[in-house]
Amino acid sequence: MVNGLSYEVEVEEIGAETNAASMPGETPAAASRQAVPQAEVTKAAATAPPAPAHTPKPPARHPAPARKEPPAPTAGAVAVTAPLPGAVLDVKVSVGDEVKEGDVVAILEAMKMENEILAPCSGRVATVRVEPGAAVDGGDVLMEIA
Amino acid sequence: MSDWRQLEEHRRELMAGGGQNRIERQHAAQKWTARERLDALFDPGSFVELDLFVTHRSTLFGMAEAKAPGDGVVTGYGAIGGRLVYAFAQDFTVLGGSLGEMHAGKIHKVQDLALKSGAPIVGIIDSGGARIQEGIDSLNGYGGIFLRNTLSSGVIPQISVIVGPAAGGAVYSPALTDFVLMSEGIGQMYITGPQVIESVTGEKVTHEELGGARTHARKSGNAHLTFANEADLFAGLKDLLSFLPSNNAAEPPRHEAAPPPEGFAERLRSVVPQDPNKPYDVRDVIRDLCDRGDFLEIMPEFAKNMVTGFGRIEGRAVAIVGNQPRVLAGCLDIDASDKLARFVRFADSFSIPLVTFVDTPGYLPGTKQEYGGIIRHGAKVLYAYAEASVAKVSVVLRKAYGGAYLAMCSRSLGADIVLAFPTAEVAVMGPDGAANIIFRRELESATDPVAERQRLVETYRAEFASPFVAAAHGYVDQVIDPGELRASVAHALWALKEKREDRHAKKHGNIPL
Repeated sequence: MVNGLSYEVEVEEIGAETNAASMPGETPAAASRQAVPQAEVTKAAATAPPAPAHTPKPPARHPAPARKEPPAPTAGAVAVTAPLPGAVLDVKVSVGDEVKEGDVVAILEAMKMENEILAPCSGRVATVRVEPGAAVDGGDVLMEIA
Repeated sequence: MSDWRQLEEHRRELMAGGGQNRIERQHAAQKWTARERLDALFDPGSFVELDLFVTHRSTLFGMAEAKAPGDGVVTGYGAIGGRLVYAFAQDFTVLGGSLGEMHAGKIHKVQDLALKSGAPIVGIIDSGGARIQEGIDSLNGYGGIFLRNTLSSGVIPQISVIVGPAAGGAVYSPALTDFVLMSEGIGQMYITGPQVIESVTGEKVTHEELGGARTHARKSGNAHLTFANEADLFAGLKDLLSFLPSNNAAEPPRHEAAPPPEGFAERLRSVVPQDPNKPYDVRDVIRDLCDRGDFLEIMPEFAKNMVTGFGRIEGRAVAIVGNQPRVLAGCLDIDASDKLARFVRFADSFSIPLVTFVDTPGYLPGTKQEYGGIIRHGAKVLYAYAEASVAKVSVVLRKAYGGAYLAMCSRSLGADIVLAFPTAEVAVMGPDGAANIIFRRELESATDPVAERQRLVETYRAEFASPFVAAAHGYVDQVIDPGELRASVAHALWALKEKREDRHAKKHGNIPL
């Protein structure tokens, strides 16, 4: 139990040689303690996606064709995320476009519906992370508005 | 024996609450005083105050000297739109509106009177919480409020107004009531405050982020309506009350009948797209059903894939529910199920007829939903509709597939009248999925499986994805011209006006929670 939250931490028996190479001067027990703050970092990032200095990995389940490693979130930008897993049918804006809150910025085909993705705020399109045809998971960042 | 002039003086002193300084501080925080709030709520001059002379009887921790006019809460009754309503308003200028034994006793008294008299009660919350100096007597006070909230539930409408802090146990009285209204920037609700959260979990969060109106309207679903300021809030509260009966044996106030906005029939004929993949706003259908297009949406910011609210048809209040195809494709998920079930149960408790618009592809798939308990949450929708004995009219606009079709007030769950637009697709599942299963062999042996699949999907759609199979079996009573929606629903409600449906005698059912 750490800070009232319980974390499951697996400690594997590893050879002294490997241990010495990866964690100089650390025992396996010490390594397990280190796992805790890491878990916290992941959790914090999950609740606040645009946290700078942390790049969320694209989900491996839907390897989109020609999808590059997403760049670090733009500071102060609002992320437009996919509400459902699905396929991007259309991207209605380009980087630099002005959008108003409620404008349709993309169409996501999911649950047999051409879901309109609306701008959550007014601003300028800072990044576009997806192209038509891309498969996305629920919560994936489609674009950012600054 | 003091004469009437001294009485007047005495009253004036007490009605000043915590005094001019504290009143100014309240105003500086953009907050009204308890009495200003009651003035805004009740018809002019109609509020009658009870227990003005009550004060605490605590002597510990310096309380013997503490002056507490009215013990920090104003209680009484009055008229709103000519109708009797009871109310209590916590007075933040007196000991921070803290709740002690006598303060709670005053609230208990108006709760009891409201229940006995069959009148709605409004609780205006602006309080620092339990009065610690009074110890477990103040806790007991909260307990008595919760008990009365629960016993009044389903008998009289209970409305909570959050225009100040409500922390810890204090939040459970609003949570037990039917509607929670919050004013942005001043109303806050949480079980544990930011300081406690930071000391326990290390999370940093502001009061407003944690428990403000926007948070409860969008994230937690604890607030039913939110407003930019108190003036808007009290106007909105009166609007809400105008749809509600005074108690479970009374009818909602009748209003003058009025048609929907001009051009409604033409709009209704084109609002639902033929293409089942195209979204639209179900509220456009709802507004063209209601008198003057007036629709009071409840919880408009939470679980937006489900629309709930009140309107009127020919002057009579109706509770309206609709899947929203424009959000999450209109899927039912955990939050939408909770939102719908509670709304349906409120409407049934107070015999407000239910009109349900159906256009949903099903329950939302995914591990998050399954692990979150969509089975038990989704079951609430079935339970609430099946249990409801009020008049139930359903209108299938487009997709009505499988379990979600059953859940959304189908004939099988006891809908009284089921209407369908010609665009309706009542089927066991969508054409694509169904074709894959039914025609599996044909697809396996086809030389061009893609073209063959397309052909079979179209075959299925033409045969089964229509309202006519359901109508042929009597699950749909009428397939209607969308332009006749208003007349068809009005006729159905007229035919069901005296509906009575008895249930087995029981203490209460066991809704999956």
